[in-house]
Amino acid sequence: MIRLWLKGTVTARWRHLLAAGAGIACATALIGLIGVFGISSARTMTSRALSAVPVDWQVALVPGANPGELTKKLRDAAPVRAVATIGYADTVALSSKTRESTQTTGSGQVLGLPPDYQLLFPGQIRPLLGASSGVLLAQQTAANLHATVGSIVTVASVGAAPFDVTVAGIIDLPNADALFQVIGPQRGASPTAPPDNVIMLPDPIWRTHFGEAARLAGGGARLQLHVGLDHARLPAAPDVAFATTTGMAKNFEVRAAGEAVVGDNISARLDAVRQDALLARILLLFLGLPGAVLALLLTISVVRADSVRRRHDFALLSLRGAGAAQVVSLVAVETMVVSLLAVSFGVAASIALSRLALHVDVGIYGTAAWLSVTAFAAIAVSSLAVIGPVVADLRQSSVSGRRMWLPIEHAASWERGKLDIVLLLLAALIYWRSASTGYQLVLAPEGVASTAVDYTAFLAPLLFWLGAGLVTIRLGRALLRRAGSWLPKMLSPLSGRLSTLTSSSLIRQRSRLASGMALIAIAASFAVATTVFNSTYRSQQLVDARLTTGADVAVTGTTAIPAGAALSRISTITGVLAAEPMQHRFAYVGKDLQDLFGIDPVRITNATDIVDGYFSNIGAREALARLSRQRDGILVSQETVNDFQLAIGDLLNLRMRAADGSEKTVAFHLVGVVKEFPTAPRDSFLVANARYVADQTGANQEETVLIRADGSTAVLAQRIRESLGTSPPLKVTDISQAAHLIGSSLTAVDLATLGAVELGFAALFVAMATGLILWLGQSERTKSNAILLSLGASRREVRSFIWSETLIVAGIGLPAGALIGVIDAWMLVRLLSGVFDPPPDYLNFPLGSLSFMFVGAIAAVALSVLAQSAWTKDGIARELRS
Amino acid sequence: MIATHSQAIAAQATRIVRIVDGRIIAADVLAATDGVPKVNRSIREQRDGAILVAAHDLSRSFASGDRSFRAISSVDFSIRAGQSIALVGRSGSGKSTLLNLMAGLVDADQPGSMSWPGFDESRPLRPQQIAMVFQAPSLIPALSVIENVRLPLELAGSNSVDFLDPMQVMHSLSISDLAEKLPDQLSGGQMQRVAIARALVTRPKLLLADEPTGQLDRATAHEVVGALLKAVAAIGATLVVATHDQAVAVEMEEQWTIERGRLAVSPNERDAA
Repeated sequence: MIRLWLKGTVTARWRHLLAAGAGIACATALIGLIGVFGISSARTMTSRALSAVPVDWQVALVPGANPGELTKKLRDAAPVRAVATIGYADTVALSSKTRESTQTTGSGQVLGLPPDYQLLFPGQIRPLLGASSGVLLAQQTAANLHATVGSIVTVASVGAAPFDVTVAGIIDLPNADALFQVIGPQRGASPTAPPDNVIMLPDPIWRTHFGEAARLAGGGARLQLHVGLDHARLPAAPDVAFATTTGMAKNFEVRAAGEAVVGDNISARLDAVRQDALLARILLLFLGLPGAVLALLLTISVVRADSVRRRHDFALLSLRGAGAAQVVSLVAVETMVVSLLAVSFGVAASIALSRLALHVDVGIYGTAAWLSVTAFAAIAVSSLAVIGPVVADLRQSSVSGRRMWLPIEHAASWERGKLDIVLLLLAALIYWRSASTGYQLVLAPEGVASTAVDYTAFLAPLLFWLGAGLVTIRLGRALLRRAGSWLPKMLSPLSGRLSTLTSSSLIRQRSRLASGMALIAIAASFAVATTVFNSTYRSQQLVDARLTTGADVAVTGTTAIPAGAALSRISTITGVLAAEPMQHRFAYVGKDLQDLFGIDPVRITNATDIVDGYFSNIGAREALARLSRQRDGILVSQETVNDFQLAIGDLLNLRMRAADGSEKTVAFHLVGVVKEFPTAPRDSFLVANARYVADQTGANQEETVLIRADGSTAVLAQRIRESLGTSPPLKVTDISQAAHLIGSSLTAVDLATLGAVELGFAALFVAMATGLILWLGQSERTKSNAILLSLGASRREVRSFIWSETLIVAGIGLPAGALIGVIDAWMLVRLLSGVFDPPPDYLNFPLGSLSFMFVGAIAAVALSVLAQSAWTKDGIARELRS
Repeated sequence: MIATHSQAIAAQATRIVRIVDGRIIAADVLAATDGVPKVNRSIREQRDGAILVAAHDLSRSFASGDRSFRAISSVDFSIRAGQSIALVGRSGSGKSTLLNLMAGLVDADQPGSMSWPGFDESRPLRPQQIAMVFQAPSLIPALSVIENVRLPLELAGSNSVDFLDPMQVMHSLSISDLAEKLPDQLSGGQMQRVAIARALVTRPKLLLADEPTGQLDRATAHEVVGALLKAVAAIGATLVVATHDQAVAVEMEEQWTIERGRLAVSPNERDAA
């Protein structure tokens, strides 16, 4: 019987099975794809973060501790890839003799390195000149000593006789801050600066001179174990990896209590990116889940669209004695077959799109597991989505009831309970709660392993979306119920003399039509929200990059060699739309040394965008106008305002370096609060009038030039580099470089490809919602169309019936969807303020993509009408006999 | 226990229980519905006898998988104004296909031909020319009864003075009280009466009825046939009824028997005889 049922179903209802399968496959593909992207982007964030850490742990040994035993304990506590024992010794001075004179430095550090250190920890030392092994001298120290390869340097250490070494190579220490960090409890509140003078010796030489001192407390020498962990064995997600590495470090410290303390570089780095990773997860949830919900709603709608015919089937089965259990079992088998096939297609599409569009390897454990879970969940949920409406059909009280073509209109339970209103109110409440906490969705306190993610905030746009969909049903039905007076007139140009009857028919079918409107509305709103959000995200990515670079292209110099000196030359380069100089000085606010940017508030916007999001409580135009009006005005960062309890109008006396090198106090008045500014650091900085700063300090040089490009920024940057030559150390950067360099920022997660894929899905959903739902209704309308033709109606007259329905459903559904989508996108952008740096001033509407979506929907509508109009005479005769 | 409206099947049973209006009765109710009114001869005699539809070597095949079968095979006939014809034959003999060919709903195979000299040849199936009544309920489910009946008027242009008043037609078929109901709320017999009312409201010259009583019990079938004949007689339309029910067939002036797609006795031959 099951085989017979399946055969009959495939033959008679292949269209519905195909459509239901398409919905399930789309949901599976979208969820699978977004999950794979999420896992891979988290993995990318983790690996990008870890690649910036040359040494994962620096284990400081107490004097007398055995490095061999501690290495064993390390290997027990963590997946260790490499361990090296490094000696650190204090030196009171380094000196070097040249022909003319003897150069002597201040205190410094003497490191003892094993021969394979650079092999084990690449990136810690960057050879600049000469050999990469032997005695290595840091670049700054070499400059201080006027030493080069072959020079003899005398090391004067604490508690040991001075000794001479011959320099084999000059090196750079890009990771000096971590290399010379104070491990364990620190003296003082501020971090210790790396030493000015560093020399590195081969391990045997270091042991000869400092080996004994390292065994004694206060001997001026100590040992560290530099540890590299096996990153492949760390979890992919930064937050989980952070918890793991922190736990392992603590575990080791417990094992080595009293012998060693861990300087946990890897956890510190992961700590910095895990908040971004959590935001990324939320972002993907925001983008993915509505799509999956929509695909399931489409599937349910497809199943429901077949309900009339199915009710007839059930009525026949019931008449022939089949019980409800038998009917459900038949449908269950049908569902399982469709689900399995559709989910297989969906997973295959996920894999193909992941590989081809996102270039992600789906073979790795995390993604494979995700796809498996997605597949099982999709089968379970889609089975429920199909069987649910069928069971609802079976609950119809009688066989005759199941045969009803036009179900008796009654308010659904959600309508009676005003669920739509409740959902909208809940959405507003949750949104208000998130807004009141400053849209703080992710809480990852620095150094604390546990994190808190406010996933409930996501409910605001989701509930609004669903509530608005239900409101569309309510309003659509109410609108059609009262359409008797205006609908015939509206349809008159299309239906002619049939407009009154067409209107009556549409008004009676208002429940079905309102559901269609709502489905189209939520599909269109998903498309609009996704498109607008992705576009806003992309444009904000540019703003972020521009914020980091300062402008499309920036030329940065120093006070000694200011970029402003090259302004006239830069301005004449082809592709420069505008170039404006900017001072970059430093000023003491109390004891804090802060960056100070001197600008021309009237002209700066020629070269770069100054947006409202950069300022607190005032717009960009007003902030710059205040600065322009008040010569000694100053914009102060929020952090400084908080720290020093400042208010608008307050006098600020800043200590600055004058042109003659002396320190001078300059008086400013606070005119506004600034949160972000081109090239400025994220915490504390100041923005003032460049002319005032120049007048007060006597130094009128401008260290930076900001450039607005006409065309490719990378090409222009290269042209500027060529024009400036290599002799002056002016650094030229452009926004395309910055976009790649922002490693810790979430906006570094490249949503462009995922956005394009999502746009494709959104277009597909809109097309499915509009075209498919109308097309699927054909099975109900075929008979009516055949009757009309048998009554002598022309094809044009029958088509006018179809067009009327289509125009009503799509004509109300699409604009409603656009409105819901814009509100949803606005809500998403506001809720995800934390993702943006700075938050955008306004939504970005990509007219091209939106037009593509709109034209796609119209094309789907037209195709569905054409498909319904493609009847044959034989088909009509067959339909009339059925 | 067998539920049926077929007297032949009922005759095989040891006990017959009749149900009328949901109540079991002992009496034979058929007697009450016998005596269907004959077509009004005087009106028929006023007809000019012009040919409305003619077929020459008419054939029609249908594909079924990779095979094809002939539903109608080399049929010749003509139908004149005023005739009432019963097209009699077993299920699958080709009755419905022949009616569809007469209506122009399906096309004939070449080289045979179908012509409608009495109508606009380019589109014979128009409300005021040919109307059809089908075996299966054929009402638009989203339109009320009165709207269904008015539908052909709207399609034809309701300003014509020749058309009948829908309410009067419905009244004559005893369904005027159903005007505002939806098809879902009607019984099978009521639906067929509405379909007949809809077919007649534009005064078609030719009415084609395909097993109009096929899904009705005998008592209701007689009522429907009676109503159909009465209404047809009233407007003077030509009537072709496809049926396998002899009781219906005998009410027509002529009976054409169709077997395996061929007319057993060619109307033309018979005319010649």
